[in-house]
Amino acid sequence: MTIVLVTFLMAAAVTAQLKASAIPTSNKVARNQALVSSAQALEQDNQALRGDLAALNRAVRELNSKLGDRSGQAKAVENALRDQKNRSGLTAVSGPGIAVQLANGNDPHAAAETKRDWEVKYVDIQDVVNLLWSAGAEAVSVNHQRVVPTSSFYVAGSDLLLNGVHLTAPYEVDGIGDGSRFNSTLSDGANLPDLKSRSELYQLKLTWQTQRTLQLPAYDGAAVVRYAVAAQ
Amino acid sequence: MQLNNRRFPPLQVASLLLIVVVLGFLFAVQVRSQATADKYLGGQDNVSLGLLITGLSQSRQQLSDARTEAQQQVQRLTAEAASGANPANALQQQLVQLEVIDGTVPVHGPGLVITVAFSLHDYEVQDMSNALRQSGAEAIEINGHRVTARSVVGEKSGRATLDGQQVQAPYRVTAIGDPVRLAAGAESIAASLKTRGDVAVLQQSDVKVAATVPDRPVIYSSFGS
Repeated sequence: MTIVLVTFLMAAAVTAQLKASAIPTSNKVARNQALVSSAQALEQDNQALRGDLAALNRAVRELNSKLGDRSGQAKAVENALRDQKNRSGLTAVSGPGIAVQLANGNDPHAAAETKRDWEVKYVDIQDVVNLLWSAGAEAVSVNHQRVVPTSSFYVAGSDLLLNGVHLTAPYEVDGIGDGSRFNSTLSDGANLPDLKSRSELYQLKLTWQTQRTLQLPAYDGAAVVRYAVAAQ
Repeated sequence: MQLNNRRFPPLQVASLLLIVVVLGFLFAVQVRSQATADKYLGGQDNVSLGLLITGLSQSRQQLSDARTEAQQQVQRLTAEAASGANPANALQQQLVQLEVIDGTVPVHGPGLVITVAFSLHDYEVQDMSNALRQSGAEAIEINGHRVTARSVVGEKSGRATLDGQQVQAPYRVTAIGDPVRLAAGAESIAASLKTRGDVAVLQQSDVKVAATVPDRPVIYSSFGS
């Protein structure tokens, strides 16, 4: 019995000691963990909602196909609808293009470095995406999230929300289009000057390779119009 | 030495092992949970986490609304399929919705107009349109140019360009969407720009966005299902 008691006390003491050294003794950790739990719960909810939406969109597609078979006029509209879905990013797409990789560089641990320029920021991703559009990209994704006409880049500290999906570094921006044109646009010293300079200063990763075939997923978020009405 | 020769009752040994295992497990769970939190936080402070939660909540609301809308659409289309009517109209409505999203048709609806009297940089134009989309804008026009997330924002001779066309001050930014959300977004845009000159936000029950996006050829893409 004495041995059990001594072992228990020793184990408890060691555990307490290790815990004390691993976790700061303030309620900051508890607060952070509560916030992290909330964010994780929201991400899970959103993932489940995206799953529901995907199933409903499949049902809509099947019903559209049925309706399209009813008349020549309906078939023509269904084909136009399918084409528009392709153009709007609502279907998966493949083709040649470019893959751009971005990853955080090295923290110089200098007091003067308050802007955290060694990190990839949401504006960097936005700039790369914009550059790919300017070079004729037909479809773009960031960490497998399609950029569609309604997409917004939302800053969350050093992370990014794209289409409401939480993305973190390292990032891969994929673009479908003319790979050699993408390559020359990205190589042009006049483009992405800030990112390239930070890449040299902090070893922030900025690399790209042309690809013979890239697979980009369909947009899986909300695509609802409630207020804008097409003018007659 | 005495201990080595001593025989412990099996129950005592089992209890001892159980305690050690349980303590070890609890400790591992605590440390792993902290490690997971640290990895997820990635050095983020509470303010950043707050922003993340706000963004994720907005997304949840949009996804939930979209699910309700899709459920209703399935019901409508099922009824349409059961009836003998010409289904072209039901399909045409969906097509028009996507054209609105894509920016290929002129639109109107409730919204607001932001006027900015001074010159903006390309990144400011980009940030402004991005912030409006985040605030639920369904259609945006800046000085007669339709703007979506696919618009190319650039700068030429010190002036911002949209899809290769120069846009210069004064800027008239028209956005259509949920009036409440849009107003909140527009006010924060205005607040961030006001230190540099005149910025005004005017809410309207019906505004027109007449411009459409330029045609984009599709050459390299193969579409799946």
